Amino acid sequence: MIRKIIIAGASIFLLLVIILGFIWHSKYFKTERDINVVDLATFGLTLFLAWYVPNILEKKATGTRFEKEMLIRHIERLRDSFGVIQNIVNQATLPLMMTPEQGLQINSVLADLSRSLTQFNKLIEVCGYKELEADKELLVRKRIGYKQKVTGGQFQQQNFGYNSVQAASIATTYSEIEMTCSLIIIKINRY
Amino acid sequence: MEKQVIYKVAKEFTPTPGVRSPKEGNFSGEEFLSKHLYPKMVQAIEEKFTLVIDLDGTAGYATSFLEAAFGGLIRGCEADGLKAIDLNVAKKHLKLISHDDPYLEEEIEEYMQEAAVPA
Repeated sequence: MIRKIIIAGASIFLLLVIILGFIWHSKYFKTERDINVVDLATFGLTLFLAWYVPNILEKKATGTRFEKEMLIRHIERLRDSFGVIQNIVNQATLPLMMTPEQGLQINSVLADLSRSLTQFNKLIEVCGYKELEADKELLVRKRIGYKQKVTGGQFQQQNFGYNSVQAASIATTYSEIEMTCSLIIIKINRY
Repeated sequence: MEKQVIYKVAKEFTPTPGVRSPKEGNFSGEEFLSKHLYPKMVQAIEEKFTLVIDLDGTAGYATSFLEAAFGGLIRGCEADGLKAIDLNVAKKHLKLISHDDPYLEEEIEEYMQEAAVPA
């Protein structure tokens, strides 16, 4: 089988050489016997670009785009989780009260957020986005601040509901977190 | 290396830690402190071993619970007959495990530090 392929390949190559030979000596084509240095350089550059663009540049661009999208999705999920907590806070602001299930859900989502932030830290390390370290640290501090406001005081006590002052303070921290997430997304996009 | 004694909160106390004080609800931070954490910590200091608190496997911890338990460990509580424990001594004999919430250790340390600063 391999022998047949080699014979077929050699036959095609021979045929091409014969055709090129005819073209070379044909009266319809004019051929130069001198080599122009500029043309040679252009030819070399064209060959290099034909190899470099699809093999190196495009692969690099695709890889970077994938990493960016992954990091952005991660931050969006984080922002959504904060949104889940904020929704519960809104539903448990006096005169409305928090149910025990809502209290447990808040604790659970806050623990999920902690894990997500650790994962984000690992991802930026692997992807080489060291410049995002400070932003991640800011988000970590804001999560702790948010947690203290949401789960502090009489949280989970029977008939607990946030008063208007607490609710306003929590909403402010939440909007700061949203802003931080959006700024991180913009920063990733600009890389 | 010092001997280690592991205490798993979810198994030995509750999988659903609750509020700050017992009058606010069940499985409070103060209850955890007075009945579990404090006696075990005193034992760890006296018998020179490391108390490993495994925080995993619960539904999560509210700030009020953590502050009452770990802040209270450093602050002490005269009403309950709990003497304050020096922060450095406590840190020497206490180790925390938290894979479910990786930033929990940092948070608890913050409450302990704050409790060590006189008001």
